[in-house]
Amino acid sequence: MSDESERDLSAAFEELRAPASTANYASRSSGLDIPSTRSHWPQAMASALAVAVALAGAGTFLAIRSARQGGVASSGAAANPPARSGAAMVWDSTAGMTIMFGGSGSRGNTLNDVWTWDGSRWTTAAKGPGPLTDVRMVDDPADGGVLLLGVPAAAISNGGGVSGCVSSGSGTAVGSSGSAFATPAAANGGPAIAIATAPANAPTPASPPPGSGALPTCTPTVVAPTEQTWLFTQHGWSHPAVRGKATTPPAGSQLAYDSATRQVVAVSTGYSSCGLPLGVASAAGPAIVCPLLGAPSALTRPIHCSAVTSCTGGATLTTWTWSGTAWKAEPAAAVEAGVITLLFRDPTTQHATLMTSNGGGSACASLPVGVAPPPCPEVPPMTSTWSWTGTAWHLLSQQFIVQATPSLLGASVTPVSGHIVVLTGAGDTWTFAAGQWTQDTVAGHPSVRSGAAMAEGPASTVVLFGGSAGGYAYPLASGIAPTGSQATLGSDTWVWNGTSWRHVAGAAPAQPPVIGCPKTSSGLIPPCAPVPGKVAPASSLSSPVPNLHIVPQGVATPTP
Amino acid sequence: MIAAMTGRQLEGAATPFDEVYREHADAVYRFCVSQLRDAETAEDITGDVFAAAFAAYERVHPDDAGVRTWLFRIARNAVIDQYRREGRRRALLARVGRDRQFADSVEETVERRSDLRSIRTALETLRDHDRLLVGLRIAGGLSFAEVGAVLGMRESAAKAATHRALERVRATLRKQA
Repeated sequence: MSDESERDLSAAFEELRAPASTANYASRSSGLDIPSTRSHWPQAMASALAVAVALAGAGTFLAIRSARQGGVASSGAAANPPARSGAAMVWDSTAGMTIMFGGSGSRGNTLNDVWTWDGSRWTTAAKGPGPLTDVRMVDDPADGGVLLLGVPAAAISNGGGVSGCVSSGSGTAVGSSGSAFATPAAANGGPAIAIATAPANAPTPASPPPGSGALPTCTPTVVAPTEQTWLFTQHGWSHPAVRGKATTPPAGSQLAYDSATRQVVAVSTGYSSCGLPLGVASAAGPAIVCPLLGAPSALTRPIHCSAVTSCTGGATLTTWTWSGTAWKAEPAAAVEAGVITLLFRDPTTQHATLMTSNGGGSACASLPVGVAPPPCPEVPPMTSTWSWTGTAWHLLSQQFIVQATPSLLGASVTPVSGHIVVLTGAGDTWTFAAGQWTQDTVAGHPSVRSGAAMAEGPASTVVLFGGSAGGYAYPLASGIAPTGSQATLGSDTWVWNGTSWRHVAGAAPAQPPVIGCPKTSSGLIPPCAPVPGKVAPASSLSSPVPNLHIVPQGVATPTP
Repeated sequence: MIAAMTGRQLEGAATPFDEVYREHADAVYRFCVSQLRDAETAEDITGDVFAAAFAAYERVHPDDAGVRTWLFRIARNAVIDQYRREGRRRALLARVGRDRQFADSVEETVERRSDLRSIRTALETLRDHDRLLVGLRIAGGLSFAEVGAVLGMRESAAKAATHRALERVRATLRKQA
């Protein structure tokens, strides 16, 4: 549409003049938030300035002014945030800048600092609400800031939050109840928008799958993290009243703002023991057709499996919405969480959108030891896309993905201006738009890492910070200290402008010394550094990270 | 105290606020009218925007080039807040069974222009984000760069998105005709 054709629309408004009452601004009070032209936390900054000036006098002034202008932090620390992994990062549309909070520091400590990124530099903003783990943040313009969900680190260190579940079979399952994030990134709190895999741990089985020779022996232990919800606005941090833990999404829930309904939506994947029937290949037993929905023609022939109510369970999805003061658990969704579950705001529809993928693989979920595999064809990953209507999930599409797709496990993902940007654990950059994945060919990119924080930046860019290299390759649950881990953390900032990555500042996570993992018969992965895997090309900052694959239960394990 | 320490640099706002008001009040009001169904509310919100801007003007110290986008960002936030309040209010009224027709309170100034009424009706069919884009562009008179700055979008993205939204407005107007 040309400018000329806009003029007739504009002309309709030309007659309007601001009423005289609007000129009473000097005698009128307003509770509106004021975005600054530079720093977007003016009141918090002003408070800090006032205290600093009072204490330190004129000598502090230069540093303070510099801080006000977004330059060197008033504390005198370097403008580059310290190295970290698993920080939460989010684009704050109200402030017009990117916010980064917390994560794990180089000594394994939980950080409590807040940084803002204005497109060219980092500035310290304010202290966080306290050291939190499993932090997730989401843009919340309806509340004038960003919403944070996390668990106090103290609660974790006091013994809460961990449940053990170990399989004696080929799969190894380690996870935390309620945490849907079984990725290496989640070990340190995960990226701002992390990838949810199916929960790794299952409760003690009530009835074993027929023919299974290797049953999981799960011993749930104390699970008592207390999730907290915080709101960060220009006035600083506030702890909105929440009606109780029962209605608070569990740590690690994915968050997205639904602009169309003006709701913050949270989803978490849980585990339904003995609830969802799975197709388990078997040489005997009643034959049924595996529930392959919408299978392509090559897969339409019946696949015979035995019907079981499997205690390997199934992943379920729970949805919450945030009203500004409380979380509301929505009625059970018809959505079954996939091996990969990704929540984001679709920039086209403005709705919170959910993508679930079953990861593909054999049409039959698992094979008991010693059972010859039936003629089950390989099934490509099936991805379902759902849109939030305000009260329920509406299925948009369900399709087999036959094209190349990125490995989302351990990847950093962020939606930005009409598409989704993915930096895989191997350092490849992919974009998803209009239903299509595209791998971008870029000359330089962030080195191989996990736990990097990534979010939209100003002017539809993407900013990435830090992450870890090395360390454990299998999913650590919240609260399991990475003792013995050789992970190193990065303090580097990268910006993606839609076509290329630019290294702005800071050091990438260094390659850790390699210590081979001794073999064990128990199936447990011992506390050792990973065996080097694929090394990302074309980057001088590359460091090795093990290849990961997904076992049927959705547990990430290192490739031998 | 801080102001004293800074040698009254903050006093050096390039433009006195009354001049800012004179220059931008109409545009901000038009934008608010384009976003809200109730002209009375639009007037209130416009008043709030300038009251808030006046209170923060010396502290924030926007430069001449940025003052317009700064004002519209305040207005955008205020409008989004209002969307939310409206949503709650409507839900409450719906519960007690007496939802109000917003058109009843549209002032004569607005009603007199049938084309304006049509456009406002068409804008109501848009999603919030599209309505913001169109409002900033055609009612607020912002350039695409300014629209992008207010909404945190790249200029090219703002332009493309605004054009798409305007096409929807056109389509609705054609149907109305």
